[in-house]
Amino acid sequence: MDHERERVGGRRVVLYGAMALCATAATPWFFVDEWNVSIVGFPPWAFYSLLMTVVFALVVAIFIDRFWEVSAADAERDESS
Amino acid sequence: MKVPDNGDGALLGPGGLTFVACYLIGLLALGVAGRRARQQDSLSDFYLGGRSLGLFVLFLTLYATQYSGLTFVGFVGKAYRTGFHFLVPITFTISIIAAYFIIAPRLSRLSRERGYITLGDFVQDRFCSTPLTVVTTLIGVFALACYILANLKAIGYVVEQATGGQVSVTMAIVSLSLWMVVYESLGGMRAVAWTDVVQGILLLAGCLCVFVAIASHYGGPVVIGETLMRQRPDFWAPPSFEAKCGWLSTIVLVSSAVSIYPHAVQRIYSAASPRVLKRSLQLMIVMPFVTMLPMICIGFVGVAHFPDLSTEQSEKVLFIILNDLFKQHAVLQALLVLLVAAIIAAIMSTVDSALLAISSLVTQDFYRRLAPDSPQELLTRVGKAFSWLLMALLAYLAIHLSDTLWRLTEVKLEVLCQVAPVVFLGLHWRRLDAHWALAGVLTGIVVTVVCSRGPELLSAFGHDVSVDATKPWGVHGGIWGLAANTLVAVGGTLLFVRSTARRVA
Repeated sequence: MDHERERVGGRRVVLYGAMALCATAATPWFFVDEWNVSIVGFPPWAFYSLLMTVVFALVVAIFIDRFWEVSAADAERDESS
Repeated sequence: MKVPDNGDGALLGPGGLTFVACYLIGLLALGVAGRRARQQDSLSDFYLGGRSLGLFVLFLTLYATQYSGLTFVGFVGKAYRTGFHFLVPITFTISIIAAYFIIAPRLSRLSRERGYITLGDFVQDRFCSTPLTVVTTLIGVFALACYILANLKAIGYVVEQATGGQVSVTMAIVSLSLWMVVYESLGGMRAVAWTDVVQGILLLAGCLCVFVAIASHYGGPVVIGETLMRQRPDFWAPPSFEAKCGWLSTIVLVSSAVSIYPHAVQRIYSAASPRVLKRSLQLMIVMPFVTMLPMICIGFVGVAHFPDLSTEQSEKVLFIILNDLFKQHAVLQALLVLLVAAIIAAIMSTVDSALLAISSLVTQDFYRRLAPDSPQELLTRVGKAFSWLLMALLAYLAIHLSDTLWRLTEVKLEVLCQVAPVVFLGLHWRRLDAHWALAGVLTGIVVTVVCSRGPELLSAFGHDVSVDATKPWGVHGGIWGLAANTLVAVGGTLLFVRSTARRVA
């Protein structure tokens, strides 16, 4: 049971870490210079941020669909059983 | 630049005012329907709608509650002033859903198993610490009260402008406060959630219709982008490093605070089943792209076509664009009615939800602990009586609060996010100790207030301190507080608490 709890805990760290990474990546850190280019009406850095936000949204939607039970797992029940 | 009117300075003509009046009467009817639908006179039935909200209602109540009048007026104006740097709300709204994914599955399950009504119930059950429960509840009450105050003030100005001053700010605040407290007292969560359905539909229809009308007349994002590239090259410059830190800081601050707003937690508890909650949250992921993004893009349209507005005028840029649009397409006047109704709906849905949550906190977390043997009927009556008292107090404050105190309400999210470690870590980390969690919250609040308001206070007392020091490296005071809070809670637990000593949530 300890092993199962550790496995669920490990998966949670990966899931939450992936979401934190997506949120951080949506900030346009790598854009320093100004480019006079428009991508569908947005500056490259703003377009990148929007695109990463869409990726972030998809990741969260998939996690909610597939890993709801991992996030809901009850440590007390695991421990007492 | 002129705001549209009907000749007498009012945004709405007789037809528009009739539409808004019908909408308000409809809300009251839903309050009565909510009362008739109640199954028992209990706190769970009144504050959580008997934990029976289905997908359609839960999704729309989550949506209408999360998006306030700020989405319409504040966001458009801010996008006008700051350009593409103001795309951050789209990301932080997705991060709020991500935060829900961390807490909602487990909170929802625990609330069913153990009969939670408020966030305080979870804190007490998990940590068995009355001081920690009291502190987290007080923070929740403070944040909600600030939230209601800001929204009441906003609705006062909107109604005054909509009626051309025939209804004053004071009269609007008093009458709409009374209206909200009546339907909330009648039907509790059911009434609030059902009215949120109407308000959510109005909000979404208002956003989309206004955006489609504006984009088809002035051109879509590509056309506007080309104009902006020539007119405002400064918008094309990427944010500075400090601004990027501020960007991430905003995402962390908003997601950690908004996801634990007591009225948000109340909706997690109210879901008819985990499946309903899961699907509602998935639908919520789409909403920033169909609500916030269009409003932000309208701000860019404003910059391209009305480039020289002052800060004060930029707050009304949405109405200025519509005025220009009506001159050429009078038939679109109906859009203004929809827009004003949607703004009023957005504000009311936020205020009524916050009011219901604050009433539940006081009844369940304070009164019930003082009088544990009180019957459910009495507790429900106490909750309703408290809603009336609180609404009267907040309406009074919204009319009379001084500017200095208004500044204090601006730190509500920064203070509220100090509860995040208690909830996020409390749910997922067995060892977190109540004493260290409490020490963390108190440390976080002190650091937040010092970082956010310290330089301002020192400056007011004649010390030579730059007020810009309130956001070192662009990071909010609340995030410095949250870092200190987490460090104390986690560090104290790891260093001074034996691993087997604490119970698990």
